[in-house]
Amino acid sequence: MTRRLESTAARPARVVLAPTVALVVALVGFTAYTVEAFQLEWLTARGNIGSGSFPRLIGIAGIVASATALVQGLRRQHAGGTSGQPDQDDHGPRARRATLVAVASSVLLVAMLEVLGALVAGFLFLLVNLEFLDRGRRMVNLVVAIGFVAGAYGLMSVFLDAPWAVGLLGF
Amino acid sequence: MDTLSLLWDGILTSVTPTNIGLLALGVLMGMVVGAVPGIGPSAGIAILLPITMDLDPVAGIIMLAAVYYGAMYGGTITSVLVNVPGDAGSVVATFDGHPLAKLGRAGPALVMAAAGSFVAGTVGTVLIVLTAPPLSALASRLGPAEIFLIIITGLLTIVVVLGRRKLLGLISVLAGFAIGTVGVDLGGQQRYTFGLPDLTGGIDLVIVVIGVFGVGEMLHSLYRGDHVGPVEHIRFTIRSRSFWPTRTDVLESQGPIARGSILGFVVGAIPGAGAVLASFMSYGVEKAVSRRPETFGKGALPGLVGPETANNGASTGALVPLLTMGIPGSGSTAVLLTGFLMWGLQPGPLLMEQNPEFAWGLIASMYVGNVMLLLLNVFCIPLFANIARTPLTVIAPAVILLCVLGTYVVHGSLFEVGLMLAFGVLGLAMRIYGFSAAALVIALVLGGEAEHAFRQTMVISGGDLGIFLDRAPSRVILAVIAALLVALLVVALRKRRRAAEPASVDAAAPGD
Repeated sequence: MTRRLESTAARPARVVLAPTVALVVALVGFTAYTVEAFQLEWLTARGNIGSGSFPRLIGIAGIVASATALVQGLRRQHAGGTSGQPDQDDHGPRARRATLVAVASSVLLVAMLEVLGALVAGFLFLLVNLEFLDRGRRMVNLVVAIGFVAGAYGLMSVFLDAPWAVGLLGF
Repeated sequence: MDTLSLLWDGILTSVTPTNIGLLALGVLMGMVVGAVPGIGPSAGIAILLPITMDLDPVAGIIMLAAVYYGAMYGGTITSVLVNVPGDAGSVVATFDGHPLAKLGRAGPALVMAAAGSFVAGTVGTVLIVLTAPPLSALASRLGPAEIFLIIITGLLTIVVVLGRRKLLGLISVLAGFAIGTVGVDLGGQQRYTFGLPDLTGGIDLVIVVIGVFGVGEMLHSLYRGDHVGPVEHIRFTIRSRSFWPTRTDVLESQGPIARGSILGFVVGAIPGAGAVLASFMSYGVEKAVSRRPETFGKGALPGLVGPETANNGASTGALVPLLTMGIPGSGSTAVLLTGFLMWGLQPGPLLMEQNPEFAWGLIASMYVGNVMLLLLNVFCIPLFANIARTPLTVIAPAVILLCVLGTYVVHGSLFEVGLMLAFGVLGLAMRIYGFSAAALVIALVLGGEAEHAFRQTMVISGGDLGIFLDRAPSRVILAVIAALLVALLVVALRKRRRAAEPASVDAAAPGD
């Protein structure tokens, strides 16, 4: 808890900015959604409710809700508080780096899934992450990576006969 | 009598060797995912969804339901031994559970929590048997206008119970609705597909669920830094006499178990309220009725047993709106609903009429499942204690990989795997900034049904909104919606008044 308070207190600007950015993204998203909704028909040729009616209601409600939350947040920020939802869970650069590595390696995993195959891509993904998160235990990490991928292959491909990504090399 | 014969048929369906085996496997898997910090029931079921795809519907849903209530049990172990709740519903279990473990009473704490969970699960199942058929019969008489209003009421309740984050909850609900409109609509027109053939059929619920709950939860655990720092270990053995509760422990726990079972079931049956609210309410009740409230937070057994019982009672109660009206009251039941839909079953008023073997097989399996859980929970505590100590450094990448491979299993589509990952990142962002991932998924599940009901209503009425006031059930539901809105307004006004109070006190202080 102490560490949590320290980490949030150390970066007040980021704490205030982050939710505002999230709400701006939501507002932009709902606006784009609503614009698209207005390209769809409100009523059908027979006079019934068309495909655009429900999206328009959702979009407009979304714009109103995110704009209200944004204004409330900015007002609070202006009054000297946080903009509503402080970044309480942020545990410093180490945790953020771990999250970033997990996201980046997941993107690479998806990109390489049908190139290297699930066996190789999955093994590399696990090894990279285990090495990053748990340095200095190379042998254990290697065993865990091989064991887990082999177990997943056995369960999904052999036991369940489910679709399994095969790479260009045929495995 | 009819109900009893249906229940008996359900028991016969659920006690086949295959179903018993799958039930045991589901319970075990549930306890494992529950015991692993950071996964929780929603993520656990989401990860295991693709694995059950090849099973027949009854066997598949029996297994998933077993994972669901198994995970509810498993979460307590981590709360008590490691002081890290497995899921939000187990947060309260850390208040007195971990202090009890520190006092060398981890064994009695876990055994009594297991007994409470068993009683809650069994009482809840009996209550489902009693309440589901009449509720289902009542719901089957409702028209599209009432169904639309019920869905809106359910979502509104979720927003109301989100506490201080109501507006963010509302945004989450609307985002869920928006995602649900992707694909070909009821009239055959494409919406938000951007010319991509992969989006024509809409975004598969399983993909969103695995992304938002599975990947999102793991990324958030990493972001929270759960992998940083040492994990506290408390060791004990089942062979020791101190592992078992004393007579005083049993007597002390009877009241909390009885109260928690009923409270949990009732609160769990309210959409959106769920296990978290039930466990916190139970903690408050137990502290209020206790002769020694000062011991709460320092290792009071009722402070653990009551909330833990309520937590499990709520998970059973949440199945009532799901089975009778097709409304998931929580993230976990939304994921369960995804399983139903995956096998072509639409939960709701007609489920119990059209698929009685399925509905009653599920209910009957819960009796057997609860007995299995009690035995596993008591005799395998040391094993699950070891699982609870598995570091997140291993769990997080393994779960993410399982989510990727599991999504590929669904349709063998790389596009869908990418989409799932995008939803994982969305789930992370939602958790960081206080949005509700559960509300998004529940709205996504209900969005299509809400639009369908609304459009049907408008066709019937010729576009006249007055139809919502025509029938008595609609008027009753509208009154509930009005009451919820008034409650929202009152809470907001109170909050504003409370915020203004310190200023007036400060202003008055110098004069005093």
